[in-house]
Parts: sequence; C-alpha cells; structure tokens
Amino acid sequence: MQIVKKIIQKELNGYNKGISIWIAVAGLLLVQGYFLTLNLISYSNPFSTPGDWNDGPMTVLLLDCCFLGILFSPFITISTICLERKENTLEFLLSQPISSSKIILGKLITSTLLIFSILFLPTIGIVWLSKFGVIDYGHYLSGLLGLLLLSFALSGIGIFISSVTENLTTAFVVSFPVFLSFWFISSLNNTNISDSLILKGFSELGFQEKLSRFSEGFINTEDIVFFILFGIFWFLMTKKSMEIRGWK
Amino acid sequence: MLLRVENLNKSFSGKTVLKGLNFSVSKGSIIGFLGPNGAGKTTTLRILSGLLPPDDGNIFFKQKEYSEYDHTIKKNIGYLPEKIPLYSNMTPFEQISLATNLHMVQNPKEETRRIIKLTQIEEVKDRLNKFLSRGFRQRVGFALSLVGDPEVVFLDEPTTGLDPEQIVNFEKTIKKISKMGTSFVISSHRLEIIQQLCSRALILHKGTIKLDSKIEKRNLRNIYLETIKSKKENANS
Repeated sequence: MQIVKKIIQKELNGYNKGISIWIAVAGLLLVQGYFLTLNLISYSNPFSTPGDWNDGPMTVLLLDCCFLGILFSPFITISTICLERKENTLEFLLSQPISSSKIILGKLITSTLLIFSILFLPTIGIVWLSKFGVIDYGHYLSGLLGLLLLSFALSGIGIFISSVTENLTTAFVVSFPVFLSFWFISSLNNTNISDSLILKGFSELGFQEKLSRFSEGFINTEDIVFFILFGIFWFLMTKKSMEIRGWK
Repeated sequence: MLLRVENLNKSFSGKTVLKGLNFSVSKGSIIGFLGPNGAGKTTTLRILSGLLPPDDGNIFFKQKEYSEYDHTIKKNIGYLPEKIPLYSNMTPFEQISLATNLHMVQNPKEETRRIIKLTQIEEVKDRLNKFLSRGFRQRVGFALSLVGDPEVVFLDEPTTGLDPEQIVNFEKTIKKISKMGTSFVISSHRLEIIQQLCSRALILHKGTIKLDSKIEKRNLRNIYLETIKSKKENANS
C-alpha cells in the first residue's frame, strides 16, 4: 500500500504543478454556478417555500454535477497513462520493482479523488441554500455518493482508454463519446427499440438512471455494486492491456 | 554467473529482431554491446530489464528463471533507456527520491543524496528536469539506473550528449561501481568508449551475436568492422 501511496502522491503533485487543471476547475465552477442560478430562477418562487430545496434545485444540481463530470473527466483521465507513454516516463515507472497493478491502482485512486473533488466543489452551493430553508443532508450525501461512484467508474474506463493509445488527441476523441454514450444509453429504455433484448441489456449499463436515483436521495445497493464492478472491470482490462504490451 | 541468456528470440509484427541469442554476464564485469542500427541491441536490453517479454528463450538471474521473480527482479536491475524517462515537472532530486521510495530502500533520503553525489549532479538537483541540458539529463538518467544498488545495470547509449569531461567522469564512475561488484552491459556506437571501459564486447548483427570476445589490447574498431563486413559479404554471396 505504501507504493500505491507514493504513486498517488506523485500523480497529485503532477496535477498540482500544472495550470491546466486549475483553469478547468475555474471553468467548471463557472458553468455550475450558472446552472445553479438558472435552477433557482426556474423554480417559480423558491423563497416562498422554504425547505423545498431538496426535491427541486438540489436534485437538479446534483444531476448537473454528474453530467458535467461526464464532460470534464476526459481531461483528467486521458493523460494518466497516455502522457506517460508519450514522454517515455511510463518506462521509468515500469522499470521500478513494482507491479503494473499498483501503478494502475495508484492512478485510478488519484483520478477518482481528483474528479470527485472537482465535482464536489460546485455542490457547496447547496449548503449555501440552507440559509433560506431546511436542507436534507441525507439527500445531499446520497448525491455525493453518486458523484464518488461516478468518478470511480469514469476513472476506470478513462484509464483503460488512455492505456490503449499513444496519442493524447485520440484518447480524448475516444473518451468523450464513450463517456457520453454511457450517460445517454439509459434513455434506450424509454424508447420503442428497447424491445430488443440486446438493447435492453445495453441500457442497463447506462449511468443516467442510476445517478438520478442518487441525486433524488435514493441509495440503491444494486447501483452501488454496478459502479464498483464497472470500475473494477476496467481496472482489470487496463491491467490486461498493459500485460499484452509486456508490462507486468 | 550473474546473468545467463539462452536462445532468446523476439519478433515484432512478423519481423525477427532477435534470433537465438546466447550470452552470459559475470559479476562485476563491464560488457560492451555493439552493432549497427537495428541489430537488436535496444530490444535485448529492454527484455533483460523486464520491460518486454521474449517470444522464446530463457533468462536466468543467479540460476533462477526471470519469470520466477515476477516484478521483484527489477530490484536487482538498473536500466538507462536511450530516451531518458524524466518527468518534466519534477527536479532530479524529486525523481530520484521517488525511485528510491518505489525501491523501498531503508533510508530513501540518504540513498537519494548518495546517488546524486556519486553521479555528480548536485548543481542541478533542484532544477526542473525540463530545463536540464542533454548531458545533465543523461546523468540524471544514469543516476536513476543506480537506485537501489542493483547487481546489474543495462545502459543504452549512455554517453549521448555528454562532453569529453563528462565522459571521463562517467567512465570513472562506472569503473568505481563495477569494483564494488556491480555488472554493466553498455550499448553504444562509440567504440572508443567501449574499448576504454569494457573487458568484453558482444557484436550483434541482424539479431544474432556475431562475436563474443575479450577486448584486451586488440583494436576494437578493426574487430567490429571486420565482423560486420564479413557478415555483409556472406549475406551478399
């Protein structure tokens, strides 16, 4: 575990020294602030119904955060392995007496923490709402759990994509639609084509419905297990992809 | 015998790069690895460093097969690749420190300082890697290959970018460490360095070892040219 901790420290230091991550955070906060304002305005007269934040703006804001996570995560995940390979520093890591699993695990944890921290920041706006009404913190924590699980799942698949290509642009171009498709695939359930068994199975892989439940304050064990297994599956795929290239 | 390579084979996309390579490395020896571009030197060093799996053949480290060690074999191996793997946003001190931590050495800070002193990079240890000159990058890479006191170190073109004074210092450092029992396998195109440093030379051509000879006072340049030339003539006829 000490090795994984060192990898996490190294990864976090790397992000900390780069300016791009801070620009992305500022942009994200700006967009989310805009959405929060829109949400508040769109609720007919929120100030006249104190305590009604939970089903309205909070649910929407938490789900907005999830969607922004889908759009934003590729910026974090594409560089995890791809950039290391491009700069040849992956060779440095792989020539150390550590297994590739520990390297991937370190990167997966860092990426999850980073994506979650960034998505968590805009939700602080919800706490601010408590000035005007009663906030259901259970609901809020359920949303945060959804964000954490989403961060883990996106990190898993993002790191896998980053491990199969040597080009940052390709990694981004692939990650973006893949992440989006996992969001929108849920909506297949609501269409006529969902009669097909295969499509129905695909729609079960979608994030949107599951995250909606978290954002509404419902914690479903199946959803938790889904996201954890999803992340683990891509972790194992990344390991396999590294092994195929001869990096154990 | 520290390291023994038996019948090593490697192909990339159907193109054979190594054909039945056999050689051994004894403790404390310095071996020169020579050959024209594309001969398979880098591939061999990458396989020996555990970065690439061979298609066929065995590598024994202290009579034990490489695969029996898993990744822990890398504790005993140092590797300096041709393209130096430096993090641009780290300083040499930070990266060497990271390597010592990943090697789980007992006193990482002390080990970092020891290596920095040994490879004479004190003056740049706190400068970001991206601002280092080619020569210093090479020396930091060399420092990284020495982390954890490995028993055998593979150096791929280690003198690229070094000025004459740095080359002399590099040679002195290699000889000093070798006396303590560390073996070196050095791949280089610079015959005079191999002649000066190594006790034995392996000449690799088209994936096979064409010559495995002690250098002593023989003129390595002539041996090299004769070996490569005769192989080309054979191939033509």
